[in-house]
Amino acid sequence: MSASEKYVAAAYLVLFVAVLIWVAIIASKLARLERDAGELTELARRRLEREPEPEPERDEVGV
Amino acid sequence: MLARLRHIPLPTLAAAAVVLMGTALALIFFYAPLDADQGLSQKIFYIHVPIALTAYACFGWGAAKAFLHLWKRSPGADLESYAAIHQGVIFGALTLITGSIWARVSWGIWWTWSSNQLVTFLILFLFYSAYFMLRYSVEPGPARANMCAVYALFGVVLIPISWLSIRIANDYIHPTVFTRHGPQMSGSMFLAFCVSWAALLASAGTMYRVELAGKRLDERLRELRELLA
Repeated sequence: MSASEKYVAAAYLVLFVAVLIWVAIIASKLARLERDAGELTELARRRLEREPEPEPERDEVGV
Repeated sequence: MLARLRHIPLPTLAAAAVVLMGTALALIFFYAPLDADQGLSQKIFYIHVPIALTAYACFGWGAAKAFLHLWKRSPGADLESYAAIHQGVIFGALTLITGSIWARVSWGIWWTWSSNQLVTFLILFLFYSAYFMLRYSVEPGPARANMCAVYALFGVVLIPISWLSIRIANDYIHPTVFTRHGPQMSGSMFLAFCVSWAALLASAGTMYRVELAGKRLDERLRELRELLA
């Protein structure tokens, strides 16, 4: 492999590696968002269990 | 046209980036001829220059969004400006790295302070890198958004300076391919260059939209946490 070939390969490899690093960072961010969303869903579910749903209003029907 | 681009679905944009990148690589290595002067090392041109132009486009987009934030108080413009500048810094770093590799193979050095193009681009890159220091040193809120928008607008002045520096100051080291007489290359080389630039613009657009979606989701989850607390 000539010196030129090595440098050209290095330049294109830099771009490829940068894209891979970016994908890895985004994947870790996505994992954190998924974890946060899971925690919030759990929090909301526990809150709903603690506070029972209010009875729906019923119209009195006279006899 | 830019408004229409915003409505392209993200998977379509990502697929376009992949197809364009594949086409660009095929054109660069199998269609565009070898440069008579530089030989194989000239192939770096097809990614170095489009990456630099994409960095300029990202900084310009960030400044446009900053302007919209200050002028119309468009909701989300501050976050959009931030995401665009972030992409600009990523592409700016890639410009400096690929340029450095090209300089090593062409000129025998990794860097020279005597080239106006290199120095002005480095200043532009450092200026926008400092944007993040400003952003993360101020509490989130309208004051931070305004400060960041003003900073982003100041930086955009550096783009034409960087672009024109080699044309104004007779920079003999850095080559000038695009002159007043058009691109100084053959049609096949220019086609490979254009497809490569389109590929990088589509990639930058995809990355920008993904990052923006992540940031918006993060903000909404934070709001939800506050509401549930």
